[in-house]
Amino acid sequence: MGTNTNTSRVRRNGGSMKSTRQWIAPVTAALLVFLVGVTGCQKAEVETAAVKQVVVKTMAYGDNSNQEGINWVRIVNAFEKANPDINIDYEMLYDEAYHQKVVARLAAGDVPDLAYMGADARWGAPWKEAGQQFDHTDYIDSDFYDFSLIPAMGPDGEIYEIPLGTSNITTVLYMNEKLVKSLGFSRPETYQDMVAMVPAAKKAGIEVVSIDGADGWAWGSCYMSAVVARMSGDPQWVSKAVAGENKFTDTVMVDSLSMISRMVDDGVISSKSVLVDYGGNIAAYNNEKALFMVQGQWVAGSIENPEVSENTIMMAWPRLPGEKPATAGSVAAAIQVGYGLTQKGASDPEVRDAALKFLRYFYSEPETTQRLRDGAIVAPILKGYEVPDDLPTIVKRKVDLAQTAMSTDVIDAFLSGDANDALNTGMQKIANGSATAKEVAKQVESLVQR
Amino acid sequence: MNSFTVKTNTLESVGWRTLAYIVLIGWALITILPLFWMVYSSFKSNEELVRDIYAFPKELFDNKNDEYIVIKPQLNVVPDYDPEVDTRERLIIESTSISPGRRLMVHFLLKEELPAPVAALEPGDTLELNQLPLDMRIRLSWKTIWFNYRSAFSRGRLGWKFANSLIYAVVSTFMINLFGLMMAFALSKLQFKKLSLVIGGVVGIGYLISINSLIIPLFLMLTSINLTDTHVGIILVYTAFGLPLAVMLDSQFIHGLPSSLIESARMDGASTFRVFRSIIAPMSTPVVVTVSIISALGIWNEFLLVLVLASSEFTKSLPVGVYSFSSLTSTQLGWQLAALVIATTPAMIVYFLFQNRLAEGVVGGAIKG
Amino acid sequence: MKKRVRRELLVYLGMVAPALVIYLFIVAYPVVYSVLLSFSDFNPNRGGVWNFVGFRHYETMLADSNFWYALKNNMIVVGISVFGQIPIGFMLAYILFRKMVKARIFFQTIVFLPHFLSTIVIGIMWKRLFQADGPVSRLIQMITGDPTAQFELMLYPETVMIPIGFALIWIYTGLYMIIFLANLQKIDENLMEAAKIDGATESQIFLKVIVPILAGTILISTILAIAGSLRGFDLIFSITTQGLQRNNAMVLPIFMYQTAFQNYTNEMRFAYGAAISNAIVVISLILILFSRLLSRKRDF
Repeated sequence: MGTNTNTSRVRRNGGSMKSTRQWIAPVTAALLVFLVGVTGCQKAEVETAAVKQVVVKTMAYGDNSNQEGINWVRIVNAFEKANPDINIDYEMLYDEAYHQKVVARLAAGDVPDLAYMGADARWGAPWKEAGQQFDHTDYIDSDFYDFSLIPAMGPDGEIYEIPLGTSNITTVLYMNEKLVKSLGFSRPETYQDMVAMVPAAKKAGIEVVSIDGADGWAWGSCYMSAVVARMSGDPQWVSKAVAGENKFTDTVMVDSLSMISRMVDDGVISSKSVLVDYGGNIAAYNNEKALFMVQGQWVAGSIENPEVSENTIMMAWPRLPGEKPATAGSVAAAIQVGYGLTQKGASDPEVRDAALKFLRYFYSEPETTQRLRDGAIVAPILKGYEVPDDLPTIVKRKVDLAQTAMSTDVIDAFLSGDANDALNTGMQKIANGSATAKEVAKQVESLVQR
Repeated sequence: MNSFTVKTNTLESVGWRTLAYIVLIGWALITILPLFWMVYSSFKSNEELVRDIYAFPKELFDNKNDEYIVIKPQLNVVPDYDPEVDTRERLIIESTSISPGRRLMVHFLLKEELPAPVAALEPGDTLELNQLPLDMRIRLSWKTIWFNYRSAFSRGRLGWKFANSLIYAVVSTFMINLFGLMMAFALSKLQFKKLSLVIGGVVGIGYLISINSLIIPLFLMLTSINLTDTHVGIILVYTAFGLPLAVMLDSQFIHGLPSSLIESARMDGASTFRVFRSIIAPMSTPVVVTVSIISALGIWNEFLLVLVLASSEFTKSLPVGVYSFSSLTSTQLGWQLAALVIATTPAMIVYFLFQNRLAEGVVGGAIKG
Repeated sequence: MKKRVRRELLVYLGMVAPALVIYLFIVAYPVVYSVLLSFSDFNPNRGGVWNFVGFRHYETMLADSNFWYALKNNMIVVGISVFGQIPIGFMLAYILFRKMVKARIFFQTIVFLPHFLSTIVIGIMWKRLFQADGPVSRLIQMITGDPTAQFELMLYPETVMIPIGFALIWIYTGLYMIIFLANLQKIDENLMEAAKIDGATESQIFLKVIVPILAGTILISTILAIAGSLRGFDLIFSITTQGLQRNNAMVLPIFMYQTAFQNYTNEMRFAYGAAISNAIVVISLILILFSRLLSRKRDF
């Protein structure tokens, strides 16, 4: 009876039974061996380093296809080669992924020693909440870094990170001077001058002002921050509003928001700008499809077309209707982000010194000059820095702007969370025509947490 | 296989057929065209892409007359050899048409291999590709065509990430299948029905939970037992999250298998495990194939989990590598597309290979013994 | 007798243990943590003490209009999946099964293919297709003859789910098609032959013979669809840009993510996020139980 069923089983499955049985065991065994081997290998790697290395766990900000990231990789490789006893164990991420990982790591207690951070509501908040902000004042060389160029980041003037450069101007109006002149106009002094350009631009099939309206943050950081300062005459209007001295439902804010509809109605900003993303915005300006571009100072290096970059003037918005003279010609600027140690990193003297040594290299004069050349920063924070003569034109123009314009608050350095989201989305809706300035102002005010 | 054919002469069937063709062909176009664009665009330089995003690639291929400028060694020029070991003199040239000035398309030519006039060029002088000796020209030409892919591979360290993705997908899928099938067998065919119901429920709920919601406590727990940033930890997590679906599908399938087979084997004195190994496992091939495809695929494309749990290059997998070319401020759209193609191609290859197996497996499973 | 039962139990546990251990080890702790967190005011970033606050977060959630908006969108997604992907998948499977078109393997491959693309790829493709003056806009300009027309459906909350629904159907229908195809091929030919001999028409065979046999498959597909719709995050996240589009298309998992990961001013964002995730699971359960109940009723 036994043999019968055996053979019938074999016949049914065509003999596959035997072959399956034969390979399941060895495969499982092989896999287990492999797994153990791999984990063991990992641990062994750390232990068998020939020289005793100090490991600085770092979270770096950069992307493999942008200048920041490419430079970071190069810098770390060069530094490690010159300092074989230091291992910069970094993880390089960008944008949302970076913030996500920061939140996850901090919440789980896997705190890095060194990280890219800021001191404002967006870049500094998670570190502050976790109590990881570290005051660098007594540890960095005041002969190397110019302390007068490093703003106070804490209530007692603490320095929580070393900024990549001086104030980060976020509301730049890039002007393609050559293109503007070709239409028969010159640099606008007032808003009306820009309105006058609309018919000619339309005929030529180009935009007057291009803005990446698909990205909510661009409206807040790169546009509204400047407008609200102009309309209020107070460079600190936003921070005061968040603190409670002003309300977002004040006339000043409503008027500033209404400026968006006005610009769209006048044709200065296109109504389809809400569909244009960051890359599209730069591409439009780069391909000479726009007279002006709204963005931060950091895209100066991304204007590839030499015809455009050589002829670009970086300016503040011309006189807006209803602006107060106190803030004429102002731009919004925030504390530049940079690398800083965490409390965890600073608690181990070896790690702290290794990290500071790395920072010294990272911010060294040649590297800083390269950063300047790439258009990533406005001006360095090094003491006694001499600006080289052969900088690209656009970088020089940027420095001009920084030296002449007054700086005002950037909105998302103070406003964050739901209120900031509502403001940014609200502005997109205004540009789109699906909400009014009053409605948006009311919504933001209701969401602000004071 | 099925002799049941459609009547071809009624108006109704013609109507349905036309509709079917329209839908299917439309579907095919929507699926194929963007992928086609992605593949051919990955062979364009960033300059080309910014100029016209839909044009066919030309510049990278048509590189015989490419102009290069001689540059001197400086901070952001990274040699592709070790200058301390190899001290031979080199002429450094940079392309003037592909990412000019960014030091991304830089070649280090051995002076001893160059004809004298070329070797004597000073920084600032230009030269064309066809002025170089033939073998060098061919080499550079080849490098130019594959510029995007070479960059994506080396900068994103995609080779190792590819291996990691493979490890995660294969090992996790294997474990999901094996353990899932074992559990499904126990839940559907063995006694202790009440217990099975409870276990089934507990495991089933797992399917409703998205990884997103558990990522922080999960990370916390794994950190405390030192399993973060390890292959073992990541594989365990993928397995755990892949089990619910596997158990559900396997249970449904095994439930449909005739109990008579198992009964007769039992009567012959076979142990439960033997029954599993010799009867259930071979007969479950169709559902194993289905579960394998779904699991392996999900793990191959999975991004969030590996982003949070993997912090070092050693453990990161392909999606993270691809994402590292996606920034808005990217100056190399071509690299991003190349990385995407590198990530998508293996899945496509496996898919096309498996297509037949899928059909076979499904058909094979339909024939009852 | 008892000894035999004990031995059986050991064997049973042996079969169940590997999967159960791994599953509980990885999933149990986070789930318990998440549930407890949702009843407290603990902030894992800040550390400190756990204070239990009862149902406060759930009350806040139920009073939050964003929650209801996201829930509404999720229901739309569920609707699209259950009443879009499944029927369309079934139809396509039937068409292929009944050999109504040629090149069946090709079409089968193509319909299932989007499932194999990563959401990063899809996100990039999508953004490129629908950007200002992108291919879709140009198509609209050609069709309507208006040179300034743009694809604006994603900008308004009322219409955003149309393109998203389209994307969802394009990607996930293939899965259901394959499942139905597999099960169609398992149907005994004789049944259909008999019906044909009895003079049944195409649609009668479809409705009276095939659908009832596949009822089980329909149910399980529905459950998969509901579960997937409620926890699906990647797709909508990657095809919308942050700001207006994402807010319009907000679904519960994205709402949870933005609350916990981005709303820095809210000290209890982690606990609130946990409450939302738990709510998602509860809602899914309710819907699934509901659909099982429905199917059982129909068996009468």
